[in-house]
Amino acid sequence: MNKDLGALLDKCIDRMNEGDSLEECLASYPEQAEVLEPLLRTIWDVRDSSSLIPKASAKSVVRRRLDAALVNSDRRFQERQRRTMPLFGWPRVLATVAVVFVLALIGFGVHWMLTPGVAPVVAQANFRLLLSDQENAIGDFEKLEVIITRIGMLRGGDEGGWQEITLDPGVLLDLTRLEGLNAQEIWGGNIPGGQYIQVFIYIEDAIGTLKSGETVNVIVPSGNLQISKPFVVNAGDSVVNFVYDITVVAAGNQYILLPQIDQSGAEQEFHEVGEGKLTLWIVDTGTPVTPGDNITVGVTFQGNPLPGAKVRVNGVDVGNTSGEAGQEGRISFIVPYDEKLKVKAKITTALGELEGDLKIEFGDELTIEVVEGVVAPGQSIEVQVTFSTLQGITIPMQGAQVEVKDAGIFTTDGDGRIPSFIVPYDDELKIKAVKDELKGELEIDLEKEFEEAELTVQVVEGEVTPGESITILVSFKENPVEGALVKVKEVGVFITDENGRTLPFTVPYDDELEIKAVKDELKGKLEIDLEKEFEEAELIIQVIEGKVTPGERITILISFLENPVLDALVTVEDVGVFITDDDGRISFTVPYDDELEIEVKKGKLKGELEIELQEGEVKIEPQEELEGELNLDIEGDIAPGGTVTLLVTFADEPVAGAEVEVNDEEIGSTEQDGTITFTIPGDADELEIEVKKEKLKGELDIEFQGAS
Amino acid sequence: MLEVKVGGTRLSKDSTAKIKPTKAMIGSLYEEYYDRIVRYIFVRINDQNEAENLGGDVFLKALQSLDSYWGHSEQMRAWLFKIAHNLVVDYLRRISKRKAVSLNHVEIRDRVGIEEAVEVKMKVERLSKALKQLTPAQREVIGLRFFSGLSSAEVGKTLGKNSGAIREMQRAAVETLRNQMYV
Repeated sequence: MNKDLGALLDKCIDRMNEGDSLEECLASYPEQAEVLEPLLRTIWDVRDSSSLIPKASAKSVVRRRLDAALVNSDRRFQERQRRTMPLFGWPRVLATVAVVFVLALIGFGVHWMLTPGVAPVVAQANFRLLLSDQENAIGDFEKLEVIITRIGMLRGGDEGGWQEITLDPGVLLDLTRLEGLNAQEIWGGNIPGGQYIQVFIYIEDAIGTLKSGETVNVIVPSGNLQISKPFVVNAGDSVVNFVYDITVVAAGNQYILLPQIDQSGAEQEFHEVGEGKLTLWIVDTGTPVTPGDNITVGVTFQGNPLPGAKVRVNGVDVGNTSGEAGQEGRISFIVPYDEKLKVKAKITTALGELEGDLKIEFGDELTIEVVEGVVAPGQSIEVQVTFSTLQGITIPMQGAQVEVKDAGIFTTDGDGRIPSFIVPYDDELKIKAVKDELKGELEIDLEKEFEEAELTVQVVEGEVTPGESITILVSFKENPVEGALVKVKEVGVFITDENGRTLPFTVPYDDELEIKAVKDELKGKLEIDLEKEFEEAELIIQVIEGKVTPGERITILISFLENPVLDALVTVEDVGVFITDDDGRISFTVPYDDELEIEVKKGKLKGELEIELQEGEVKIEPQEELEGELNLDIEGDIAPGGTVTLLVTFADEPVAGAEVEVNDEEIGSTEQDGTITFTIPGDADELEIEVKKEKLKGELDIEFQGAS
Repeated sequence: MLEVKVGGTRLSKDSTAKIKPTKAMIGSLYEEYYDRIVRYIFVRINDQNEAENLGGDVFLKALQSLDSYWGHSEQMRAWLFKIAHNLVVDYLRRISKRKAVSLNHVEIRDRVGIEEAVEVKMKVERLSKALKQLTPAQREVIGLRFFSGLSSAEVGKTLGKNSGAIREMQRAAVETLRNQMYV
């Protein structure tokens, strides 16, 4: 019923997910409607209550975060595109130079304090403009100087308009200093808060010196470069750093400066070039840097590669920057597995000690995920360790040490995975991963499962009948449990093998079979009531060898439901107590009695056997071990014509039924007390008595003196 | 129908071709799934404010992970919920070392009208209280089934269980919720 209800409920949830109403679902299952209705109404109410979440204000905040992130990611996205696609309208070989200006602004609300023509003091600036270029773009030039004499920002809205700033004197910048993410401030100051939609820079002159020594004029179309890249300057203390990216393009024998909109904007990453500071930048690898990467860092001073700078990575010396041509000012190393990459470069020159650094935060937490299997005790699962950087890159963590509580320590492979392992039988799964300075933990609470869960104990082989051999399977959630301790009452203790099975054992002779299994915190029990079988059942006693005759050695078999019963206690009256052997047998000599009484006990099972021994059947048939000579004693008037009594014994015991011949004539057999009485012939000159009992014999000769 | 443009080729949502999502698509996905993802997270962590924050993180994470996603357009929903799942796991791990979530965290600040606000708060608190009685796994199943629109089979695939087990967990969870919500 539950199973059916679960399936129906599932179908209804599917339908409600697709828009069906509660009533429509119920109408489809009229027979189950009564049971389904409260459950579906619960689902409906859960959904209804949940529809109140999230709050409108929260959505608004998140939307703004997302918009900001979209703008921020735009530069990286387009940077990748630019690396992989030819620049539209220009041959790839010519698309070589990119320059970035950075504006720095601080919004200050309604007070507009900008003084055109005067470079402001920017202690409280809300806007800064800086300049940079790409390493390969400027490669043709020994020096490329531009003079910027005016900048302007177009503010949107009703109160908007161009906010122009004249730079007097003009700002002279050498673009060859501004490779990669290097950038240099052009201007910083306060501008009104609000949305800005366009930025221009007026370049009065651009003169380059090629590496060949030739001086060239670099063309600036219309004398200024404009970029439409919206940004917002807020009132308050935050500074907007606007990166203005321009590209130097070779066209025939000319070089042209062009704006590079996709790398311009207020959210661009940059390294600011200072006057006396080393600049460090990562030589582009095409992908964001992650721990374990082999990267190359370039060190420049005032735009020039700097060989011989001592470099430390996360506090460890990694050597000096190269002086080799082509690798000048560069050094390569493996990014440590740490929460951050911190590179410091230092060199002592005639100017004194110069330093610079570069820092990338990665985050410090390894992620541990279960990628295969179900997290339940006894289940086989596989986990993967990954590392997600703050830059949004996720990498599998190779070589991490993974400690699974109560399961072992593993090392991740190239995919960040460890070999599959069995979830321990505990109320929680605890996994820790470490790779150098990076750490991660995964804790899964299994307590709830434990509260309700128990081991399943089943008989998988044999019949549950006393004396039958059976095998027990211990499982948890349908999975065999290896190493479970299985205690079988009156039998013993077993440990389950890898298939969750015990060794076969014999069901004890009891009115119930009680089996308990334990594996760590989990327990299970199996009780089978055998009382009914016991009420009607008893042990069977059968004579399987020998004649049931006093003095005869016989073998009896004790069995239960056609199975021999070993170790049963057998009491044979006047003989003794025996324990059955592995075949359920005992042997003994039938006592000299008028009946044979046997009682058997095994556990709570009993059996009885009584055999009446008829007098006529009583014969002494000596066993092999009884071979030997009968002892004859005679008493009475031992003379011809006299009456005597002969007593026949063997091993001091009277022998009944022994045949007696006197002087070659059979006179009868001995009585139960081993005696026979007869009269000696009157004419006998001797008395010759022969007695036989199977292999036992006895003779007695008496000569009468005086007889002739 | 959601359409995505890849390399100049326009693909429909039900196309079987694999795509690389664009940033523009993240905005569309946000509009379509943010509410559902927040509800899913709320069911998992029982804290409305944190659910709203984490819901935003899901889309930021998706944006950061665009390069790593390469699949069918219809799988993007599952992708987003997978991100949400991972963030929830991280979150739960973090707070397990801190403190239990209080019902006082349920806030309905931007609703108009005091009566409506009170009613809304009571509803959410009642749901929150009932959710506390579910196991983490049951919460996960309820979250995914009610709000992600994933089928039992898909949820099973996500959680590494068979669909039968999911149906049973779902039934047990609904019965527990019923007992808790109407006492």
